[in-house]
Amino acid sequence: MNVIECDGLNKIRGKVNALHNLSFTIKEDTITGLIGRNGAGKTTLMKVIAGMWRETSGTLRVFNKQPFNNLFVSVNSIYIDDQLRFNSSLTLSEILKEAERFYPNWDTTLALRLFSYFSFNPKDIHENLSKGKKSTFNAIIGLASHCALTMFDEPTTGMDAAVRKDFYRALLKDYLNNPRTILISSHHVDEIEDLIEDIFLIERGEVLAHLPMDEFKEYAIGLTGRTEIVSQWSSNKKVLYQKTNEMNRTFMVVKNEAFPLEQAKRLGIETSSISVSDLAIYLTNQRKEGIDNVFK
Amino acid sequence: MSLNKVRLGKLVQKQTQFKLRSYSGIFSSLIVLQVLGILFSLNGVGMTGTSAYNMSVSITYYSADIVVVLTLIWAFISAILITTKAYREDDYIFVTNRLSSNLSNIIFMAIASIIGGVTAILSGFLLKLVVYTFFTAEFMHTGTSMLLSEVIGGAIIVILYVFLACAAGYLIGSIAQMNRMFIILVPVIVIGTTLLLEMSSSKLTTYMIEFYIYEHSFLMSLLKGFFTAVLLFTLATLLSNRKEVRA
Repeated sequence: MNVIECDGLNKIRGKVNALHNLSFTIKEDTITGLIGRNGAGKTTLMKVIAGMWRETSGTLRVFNKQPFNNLFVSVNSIYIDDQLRFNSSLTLSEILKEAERFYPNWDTTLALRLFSYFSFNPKDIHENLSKGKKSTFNAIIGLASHCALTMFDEPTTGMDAAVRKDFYRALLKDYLNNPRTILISSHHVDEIEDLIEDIFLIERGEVLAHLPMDEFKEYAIGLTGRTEIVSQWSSNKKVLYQKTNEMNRTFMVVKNEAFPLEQAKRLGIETSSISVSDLAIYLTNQRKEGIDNVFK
Repeated sequence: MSLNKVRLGKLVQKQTQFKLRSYSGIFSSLIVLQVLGILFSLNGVGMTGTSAYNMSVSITYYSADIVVVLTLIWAFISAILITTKAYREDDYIFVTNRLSSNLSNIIFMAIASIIGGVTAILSGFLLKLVVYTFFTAEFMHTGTSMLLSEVIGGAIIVILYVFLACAAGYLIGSIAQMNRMFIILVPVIVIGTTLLLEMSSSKLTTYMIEFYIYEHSFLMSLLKGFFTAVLLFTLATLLSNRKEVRA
C-alpha cells in the first residue's frame, strides 16, 4: 500500500514556485531520506503532506485522502521540526501527557524512558530549553507518538554529536520494533545514509532522484586520468561534475551506465566510487563556479 | 502501524480540555481585572449630600458596573488573543483540523464567558460586603432586587453579553489573521463607519442600540444575543477554514 501518492503537485508560495510538478509515491513502512539544499522545497513538501499548507494544483493523497483539513490524516501523522512552539504554561511532563491524550498509538514507556535518558527536568518549560534540548524533546514526541506517518524535518538542529547519534539509533530501534512510514529530511546525507532505505533528492522543488539507497550508492562513478582521454572516453555520457588540475589531470563524475571498466583501466583511467554525500552535492549543485569565485 | 480514526466530537472535547488546562493566562488576567474593577468601585459612582436642622446627610452610591464593563473588554481582547499565531499553532502540534480548532475555541470561550459573567455578577455582592464590613456608613438600600430569579436572569444576560464580546473579538481577530493589511484596516473601518454613521445622523446606530439594549423581553434578548454570536462565530470559522498554519 502507498502511504503518499503525489501526482503533478505544485505549490506556489508568494511568488515562489516552491514545489514544481512533483510526482512520486512513498510505500508503507519505509524510511525515506528527503535530501536537498537549503530552500530546495523539503519543508514545503512535508507541510503540504501534513495538511498544514494547501497544494496549489495537482493531486496529493495521504492514506488515500487529501490531507488539508483532514482529521484522519492528522491523527495518523505527525510533523516535527525545530519551530514547534508549545504553550509556555505547560511543563514538559504536562506536554507529554497532552500528547498522550491526542495520539492513540502513544508509547508512554518509550517517552518516559527517553525523557529520563536525555535528562530532562519534568518541570522545565519548553521555551526556556536550549536549541539542542528543544530539538531532542521534539524528537521524543515524534518517536513516542508512533504515528503511521512520522515526519522529521531536520530533527537534529542544534543537537550535539552524541545526542545526534543517540537519536538516529533510537529512531532505527523504534522503527524495527514498530515499523511505520518515516520521512526524514536533512542536509547531512552522511549522517542518515545508514538509516534510510530510500533516498528522495529534491532540488528547486523538483525530484532529482527517488531511489533505494543501494541503487543510489551505485548511481555514479568517479574517473581520474589525463584530460583528453577522460573527456573522450566520457563523451555521450552524463557528466555530473568535472575538475581539471594544473597537471592536466581530470577528475570527472559520470552517471554509472554499465561501463567497460577494464577498457578504462587499460587507458590509464582510475575509477573510484563516490560517497553518497558527495554525490548528493554534485547532483544538487546549481552553481557553475565554487565559492572561491566570489573572492576573486 | 495501525491506523486510527477520530470522531470530530471526541476531538473537540479533548481540545477544549487542553485549552482549559493551558490557556490559564486568560483566567489570571480576568482575576486581576475584576479585582481592579472592585477597587475602582470602592470610591462610589455618585454622591449627593444635603443638610438641614444642623444635620448633614451624604449619600454615596456604589455599583460594580465597572467590573462588568472590564469583563466585556477582557472577553473581547482575550478572543482576539486566541486567534493569534501563538495560540492557533498550539492546536497544530497535536491532532486537529481547522473546524475542530474553531469549535473548541468557541466552547472554550463559552466556558470562559460563564466564569467571567458569574464572577462579574458576584463581584457586586463582594462590593456590598466590603462596604458593609470596612466602611462605617449606614446602609440605606442594597440594590434594586435580591430575588434569586432576577439575579440568575441578570447573570445569564451578562454571560451572553460577555460571550457576544468574545464573538466580536474572535471575528475581528480571524479577519486580522488573514492578511497583515487587515490589522490596520479593521480598526480603521470599524471606527470610521461608526463616525460616519454618527455624522450623517443615520438611524442605524440608534436602531442597533435599541435592538440589543432596549429589549424588554428576557427571552427575546437571549435569542437576539445568541443568534448574533452564532452568526459572528460562523463567519470567523468560514474565514479561517482555508488558512495555512505554521507559515
